[in-house]
Amino acid sequence: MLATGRRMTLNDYLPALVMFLLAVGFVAVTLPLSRLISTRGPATPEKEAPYECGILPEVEPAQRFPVKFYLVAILFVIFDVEIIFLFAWAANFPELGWFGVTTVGIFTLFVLETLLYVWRRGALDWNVRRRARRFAAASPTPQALEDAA
Amino acid sequence: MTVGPAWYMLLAAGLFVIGIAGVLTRRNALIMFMSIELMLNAVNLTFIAAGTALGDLSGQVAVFFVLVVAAAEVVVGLAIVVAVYRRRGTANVDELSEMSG
Amino acid sequence: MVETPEISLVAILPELALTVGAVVVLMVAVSSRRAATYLPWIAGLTVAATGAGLIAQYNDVAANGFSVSYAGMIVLDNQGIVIRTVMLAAIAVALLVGWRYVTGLGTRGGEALSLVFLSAVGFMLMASSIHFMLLFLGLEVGSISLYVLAALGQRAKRADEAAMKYFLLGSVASAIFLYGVALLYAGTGSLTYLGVFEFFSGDTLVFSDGLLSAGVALLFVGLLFKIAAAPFHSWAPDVYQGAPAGIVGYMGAAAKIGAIAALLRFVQVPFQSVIESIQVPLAAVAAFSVVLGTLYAIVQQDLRRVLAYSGVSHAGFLLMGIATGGVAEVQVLFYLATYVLVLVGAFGIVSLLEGSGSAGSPIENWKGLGRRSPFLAWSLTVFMLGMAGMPATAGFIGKFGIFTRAWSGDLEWLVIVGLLASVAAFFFYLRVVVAMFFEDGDGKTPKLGWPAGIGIGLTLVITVGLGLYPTPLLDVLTAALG
Repeated sequence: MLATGRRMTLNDYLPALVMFLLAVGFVAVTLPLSRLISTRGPATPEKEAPYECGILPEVEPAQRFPVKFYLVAILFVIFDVEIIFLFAWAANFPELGWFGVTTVGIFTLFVLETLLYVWRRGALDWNVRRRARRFAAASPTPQALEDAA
Repeated sequence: MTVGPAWYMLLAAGLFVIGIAGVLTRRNALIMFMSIELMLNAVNLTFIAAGTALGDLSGQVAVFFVLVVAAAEVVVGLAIVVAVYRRRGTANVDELSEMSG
Repeated sequence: MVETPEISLVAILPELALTVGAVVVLMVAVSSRRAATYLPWIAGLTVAATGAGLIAQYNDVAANGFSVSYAGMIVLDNQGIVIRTVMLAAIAVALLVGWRYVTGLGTRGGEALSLVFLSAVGFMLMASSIHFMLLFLGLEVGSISLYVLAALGQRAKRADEAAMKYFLLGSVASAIFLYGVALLYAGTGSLTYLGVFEFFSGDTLVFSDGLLSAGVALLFVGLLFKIAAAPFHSWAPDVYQGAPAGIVGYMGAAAKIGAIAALLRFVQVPFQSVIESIQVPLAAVAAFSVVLGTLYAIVQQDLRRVLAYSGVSHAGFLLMGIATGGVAEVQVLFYLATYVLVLVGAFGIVSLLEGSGSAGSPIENWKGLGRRSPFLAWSLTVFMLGMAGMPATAGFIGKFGIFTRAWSGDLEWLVIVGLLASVAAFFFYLRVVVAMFFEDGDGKTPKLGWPAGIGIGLTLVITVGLGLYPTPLLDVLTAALG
C-alpha cells in the first residue's frame, strides 16, 4: 500500500484509523456490557483499594543502602552511547579512509578528555567515602557560595 | 492489509501522546523523566518509519543523534533528581513549590 | 571512496575557539592546584579568540559572499555573524558582571566557565545551521549546558528547584521540537532548510496536509518555549528567580539568542513561501506574550520575577518583528542585541545586591539603594528605562524599529497592542526605580568589584550611546544584511 520513496500524507493513515476505531469501539461496548450483566456484592475497603503487587508490606525496608556504582552507571550510560558513532565509521572503514580516521580521532579526543575529567574529579573512585571527600573538597563551601551568588 | 510505515507512525504518535500525558499527570520526577524518554523514543520511531517510507537514510542517521542527546539528558536529569532528593528527601515535584506567583 | 563533505574551518571558527576554550578550562580546573589564577586569562583569551574568529568570518564573507559547507549543514553569512557577535558580547558582559560568582565556586568555577562556553557553542550553531538535525543538536548542547549551570549552585537556596523545573519543562520542549522535525521530515522528505523550502515552493497547496501542519506547529512551539513566549513561558519566572544570580542573566539571554536566530532563519528559508499561514499564529503568540508579560510583571513583588515576565513581553516584541517575514532583519537583530545586553547588565546588578543567600530579590531590598550606592542605582535606572523603551536609550530605537517594521508588514493591530503594553510597562519598570530613590530602607550596601564595574559600565555606554546615536550601527547592519 505504501510505496517506498513516496511522501507520506494523511491518507496513508486511513487503515490504521479504522483499526483504532475498532479497538475503541470494542472497549466501549464490552466495558458497559460487563457492568450490566455481572453481579456485584457489597463494596469493602479491600475491594475498593487499587490492586498493586499483592500484600501490603508489614515493615519498611530497614534502610536505604548505598548504591556504589550509581555514579559509575550514570557515566557508563554516556560513554556507552557515544560509541554508536564508531559503528557507523567501522562499517565503512575502507571507504572513509583517512577522512574517517581523522574525524573519529577528533571525536575520540573529546571522549578521552571527558574520561580524563571524570577520572581527575575522582568519580571513578570505588571507595565511596574517599569519593565523597574528594567531591566535598572540590565543591565550594556553602559560605563561599553565598558570598558569590 | 499490510503493516506499512504509517502504522509505525501512528504507534509513535500514540507513544508520544502517552509521554506527554505522563509528564502532565505524574508528579514523581523520575516518572516524568521516563515519560520524556518515551516521547523521544516515539520520535525515533517516527524518524525510522518515515525514513523507510521515503527510502532515505537521513532519518535513520537522525536517530543516532537523538539517542546520544537523550543519553546526555538522562545523565544530567538523574543528577538533578539526586541533588533534589538529597536536599529534600523527596522527588515529588509538587513539593518543589517555594516559588510561585 | 565516499565523497567527503566540504570542510570549511572559517565557517566554524568562533565555535571552534569556544570549544577549545571550554576543553582547556576544564582540563586546567582538574589538573592544576592554582587553577583559579589561570581562569581569568583563559577566559579572556577564549573571548578574544572568538572575536578574532568572527572578524575572520566577516572578512571572508566580505570577500567571497555567503558560503555553505559541511554537506549543506552550515551557512556562513552576515546574519549568522551578527548573531554570534551578540552572543559573544553577552558572554563577555556576563562573565564580567558574574565574575565573583564564578570565582566563588572555587574549583567548580572552571566547570561553570566551561559550561558557559559550551552553551554558547550550541546556541551559535543554531544561528548558522541550515539543517534541522544540526539545529536540534545546537539547541540541546546549549540547553543541557544551561540545565547544569542552573543546578551548579545547588547549595544556594531554591537553585535545585529551579534546575529541576528548567530541566523537566526544557526537555519536554526539546522533545516537542524534535517531533516537529520528524513529522516535517515525514511530510517533506527532507531535513535541510533548502529541501523544505523547495518542497513548499513547488507545492501550491499551503499546509493542507494535517501531518505537515502539525509538524510545523510543533517545531515552532518548541522554539517559542525556549524564548519563553506566552503561553509557553511557565518555566521562566521560577528559573529566573531560583537560578544562581551571577549567571541567570546569561542563561536567559543565551537561550533567547539561539532560538530567535533559528526562528529568523525559519521565516527566511524553509517556511518563506508559507509565511502567510504562519503569520497569524505567530502574531497571536506575540500579542499574547506582550500583554500577558506586561500584566503579570505589574503584580510581581520580586525584581527577578519582574525581569522574567518582562522577558516574556520582550519575546513578544521580537516575534512581532519575525512575524512580518522578509529578509533584512536589521530591526530584530538590533532589538535582540540591545535587550540581551541590558538583561545581562541588570541581572549583574541584581547579583551584586543580593550577595549572600540569593533568595530572590524582593522590591523591599531595593529601597534606599539610591543613597547607599548611587552608581548601581542609576545604572539600574538606565537599564530599566532601556527595557521600557524610553527615548534616548537603545531600547527606544529597538522598539521603534520593530513597530515600523510590523506596521509596514500589515500588522497594524499588533503595533497598537504593543504600544499600549509599552506604556503600561513603564509602571513596573519604574516601580523599582521609585523604591530605590524615593523610599527609605536599610538593606545591604553592595560591594562593587572592578570586573563588575567594567561590565556594567560597558552596558551603560552601549545602552545610552546607541540610544543617542544609533545610525552607525544601523548603517553597518543594513549594509551587512541588506
